[in-house]
Amino acid sequence: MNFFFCVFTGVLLAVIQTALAAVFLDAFFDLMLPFIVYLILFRPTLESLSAVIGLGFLMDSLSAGPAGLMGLTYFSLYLIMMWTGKYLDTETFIVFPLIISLAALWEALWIVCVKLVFVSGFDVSAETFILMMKQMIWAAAVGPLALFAVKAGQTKLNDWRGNLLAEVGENGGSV
Amino acid sequence: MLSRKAVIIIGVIIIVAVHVFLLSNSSKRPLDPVGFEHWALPVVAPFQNAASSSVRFFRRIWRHYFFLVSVSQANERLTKSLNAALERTHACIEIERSNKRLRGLLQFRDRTEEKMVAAEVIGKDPSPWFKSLVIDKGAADGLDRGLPVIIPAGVVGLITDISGGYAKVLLIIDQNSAVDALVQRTRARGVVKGRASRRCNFEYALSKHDIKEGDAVISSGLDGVFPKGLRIGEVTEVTKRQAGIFQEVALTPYVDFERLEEVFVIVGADAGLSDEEE
Repeated sequence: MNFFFCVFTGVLLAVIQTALAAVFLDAFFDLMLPFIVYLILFRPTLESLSAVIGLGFLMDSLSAGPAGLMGLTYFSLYLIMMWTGKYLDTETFIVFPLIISLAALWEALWIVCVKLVFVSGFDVSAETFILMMKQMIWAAAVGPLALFAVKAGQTKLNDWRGNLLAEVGENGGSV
Repeated sequence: MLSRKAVIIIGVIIIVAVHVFLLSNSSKRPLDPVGFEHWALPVVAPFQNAASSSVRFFRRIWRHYFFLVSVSQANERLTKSLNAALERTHACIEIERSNKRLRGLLQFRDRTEEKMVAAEVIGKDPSPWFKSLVIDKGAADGLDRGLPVIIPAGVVGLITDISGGYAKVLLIIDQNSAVDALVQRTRARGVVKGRASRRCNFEYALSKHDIKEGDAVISSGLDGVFPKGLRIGEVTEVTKRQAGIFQEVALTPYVDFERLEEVFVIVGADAGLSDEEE
């Protein structure tokens, strides 16, 4: 069930990102980041790792960037957060804007580094920094809301599944 | 048996190695997909299609029924523009007739024979760092990788990835994009490359060539992708340095990439034909 929840949320966020956010907003942040932060902080290791790798491939295939870039970014984020997660108080609401905006910064730095290495004539200009700042602000403002929406969706799903299983148990195997 | 720590370290190394391999491989050949990219388009694109159709529906309602405040002023302005355009059309008809006559004399083939497929834009690149879009036509409609995408205003880009009913288009403003081009007025040649902002650079233009602000830049047809004579952009800045054989030319594309809704894919392009026949 969690697999389908991951696939559904990943596709939903990708559609919102590409068909809505990218159309109306110039420098919106990667909406997949709150989902990835949620997976790392709140889901079991194996589940979050496989989901992070899968989401990396999904975003790589939708973007015009080099294949593997988003995957590597997400995976590096996973490793960093697994390490720092030991010291973070994830129950505190105030920490999420900071975490997600730093994740957006980390992703932007990866992209800039890859462009510096592979794209001829790319230079870090004022526009680069402005884009980074805009993405961080969007991430801090919208990221926590997206994270809580995903968390609430998962909780609802778990409740619904629990009730369904209880109902099946009471009826002796038939719904 | 390996310890848990060793397994984790080996796993991390394998995952990183696979990603670095993909990254270096696709960076060397940005227009040549590694292979796994195809699966996501057919999965995500139908939802993108539904979402963008809904957005388009509400946008049309807003434009046609609610946003009528400045319609009267716009009407006056458009009437004036229409009159000017009509005068220009008459002049163009004359030029077209003489052009046809001259083409006939020189046995040139008329390029309007090119077959085009109309498509709707259903999604954009998830990252603002890269410039691409998804259209609702694919291999089933006769499209293929490498085909040029245009609109009447000018060149949009080329198809880099394709599935049955959808295709991904790399825009000319992406930094991985390059179009062989020339200045319409002086025939100075160069390559149009994307920049970080929504503009382009006209690179490798020799300093000795006369290029001015306001000059139109068109495709040369020599890259084998874009047919000759397609409008690309207008020169907005020219910087000539004392040292160096090339001048720096900034270009603003004719296409407004923020408002793209429909595009044409040239299916029967015959790039550089005129040059060969010349």
